[in-house]
Amino acid sequence: MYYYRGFGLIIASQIMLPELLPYTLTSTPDVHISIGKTPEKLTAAGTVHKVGYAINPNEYLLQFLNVANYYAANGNNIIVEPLAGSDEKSVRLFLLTGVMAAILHQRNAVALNAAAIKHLDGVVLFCGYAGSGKSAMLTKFIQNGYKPFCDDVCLIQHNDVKAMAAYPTIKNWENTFTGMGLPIPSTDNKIRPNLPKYATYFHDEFDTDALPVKTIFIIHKDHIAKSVEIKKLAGIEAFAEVHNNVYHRLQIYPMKKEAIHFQAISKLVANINVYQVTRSSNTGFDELFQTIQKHL
Amino acid sequence: MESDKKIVWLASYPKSGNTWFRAFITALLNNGEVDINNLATDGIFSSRRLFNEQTDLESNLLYDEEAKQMQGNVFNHICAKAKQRHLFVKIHDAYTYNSDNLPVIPTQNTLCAIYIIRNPLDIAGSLANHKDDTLDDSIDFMNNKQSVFGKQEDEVNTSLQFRQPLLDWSGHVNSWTAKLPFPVMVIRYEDMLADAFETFKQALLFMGIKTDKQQLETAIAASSFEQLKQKETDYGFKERIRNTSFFRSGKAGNWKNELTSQQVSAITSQHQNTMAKYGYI
Repeated sequence: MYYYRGFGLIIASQIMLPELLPYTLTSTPDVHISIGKTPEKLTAAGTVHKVGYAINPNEYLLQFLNVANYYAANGNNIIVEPLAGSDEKSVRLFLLTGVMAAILHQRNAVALNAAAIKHLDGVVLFCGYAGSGKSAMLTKFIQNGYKPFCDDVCLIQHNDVKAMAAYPTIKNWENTFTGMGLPIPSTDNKIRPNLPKYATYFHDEFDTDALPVKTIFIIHKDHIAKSVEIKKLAGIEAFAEVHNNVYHRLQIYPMKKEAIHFQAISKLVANINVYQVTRSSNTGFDELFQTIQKHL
Repeated sequence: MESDKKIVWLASYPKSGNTWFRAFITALLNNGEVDINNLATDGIFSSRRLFNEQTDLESNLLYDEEAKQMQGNVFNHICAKAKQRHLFVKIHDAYTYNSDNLPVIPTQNTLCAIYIIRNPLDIAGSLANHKDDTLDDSIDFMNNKQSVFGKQEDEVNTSLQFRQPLLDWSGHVNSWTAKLPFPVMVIRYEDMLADAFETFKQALLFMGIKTDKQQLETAIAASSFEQLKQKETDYGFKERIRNTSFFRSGKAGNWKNELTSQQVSAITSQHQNTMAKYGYI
């Protein structure tokens, strides 16, 4: 059995998860990950069946082609059934994304799809849809001397305006490294064998404490934008933009977690600055970095 | 059940009049109102957003072949949940098969397809403008049997759309006009220009949509090329991929002012049979 800290939880896993922070067990694990046979389908009342997955307030079943089947239940139990011919990296990748998102939602956590840096006594978050440049901005800030806080997932505390990092791994496309003049990591760091996206790790710098959220930048890519535009958001507009970036947001509706997210995000946006940053497809990382840095 | 078949594929090679047709459908559904940045049709087959919503997967983490195995089920599922009678889905993909030798495009819930065809000699200039490429590059693209729309360098997956295999221009046309498991109506862009009323009327009849003369005329007027171009000037157009105008000239036969004889020959020599079949040579 392997033990880790990740997603603000103590995780006991039969699967090695190098993306997470190793942990010497001193308390009861919050989540157990085992290898085994998953249910063929979910039958509980209220189950919503979609394409390749099913979900209800307490259970989540993902059946992903020839990679693996995953079952997450009650916020503390995951069964992984790797399928014949699948590779470990792919099995881990989908475990640590949608399946862990389901566990977090089952536990009433509020998680944002965000990268973040440390700044002053707190953290600054970068949100935006896939491909908007969140991880690239995190990497650009690191290149300019800032410390990483997290990539991909950031947990928002319910009772104060603080965030907790999920795990010490940053995932970037190959062209991000080349675009920033950084060496492309080893093939061993690919997050899937045939995907040009690489993991880099910051285990030694990983902060497991919750830190105050200072600012959130929502990055949009817009083909018709002529330059980088930045706009401060307030009220319902800020709420909507942040809410759109809830991690695997569509899980919260069949799980009936809307109220929890409404309260937590309302409190968050009322106490911090939220900016919308719109960039064109041609905007360079330097220009985007400089615009955001001015508004930290 | 026949009533489960709702999907109407609005299929075309890029820059062949697909947006015009969708604007017409929008005008018809919205009593003559057209917001080009919010067309009332039901998305594009290659949309990652629609895929992510139905699968709970982050599609940028998938291999393209995996996506091609699932895209059909995504639209079957959307169709099964849809309340409306028709789902109008834009598609630029050629009609191809995945690694399981199954059609990438779902057939189970497909009602029919409208295939809009345009003279490839006119597409060349329009495509060059759209992609901000040279005419020669566009012609090479149209002649390449491996051409893909939306492909990113180094197989990076940050685009909002999946890769769309196009084949070459003839291959695209022939893939959609072969014997498919659902009815396909071919509409020539040039006929939409020459006789919009009759052409759109026949398309509506084919799709089983009832309308009257007044509604049809209103929709045609509201979706005219001039109206769409003006709206792009006033409000921008989110489907534009470069800082060049999406709606350019819209005319038929403009190739005579744009292409050299060598460029014309490069197109006609490769696509002669298909062009002849549809009256382009």
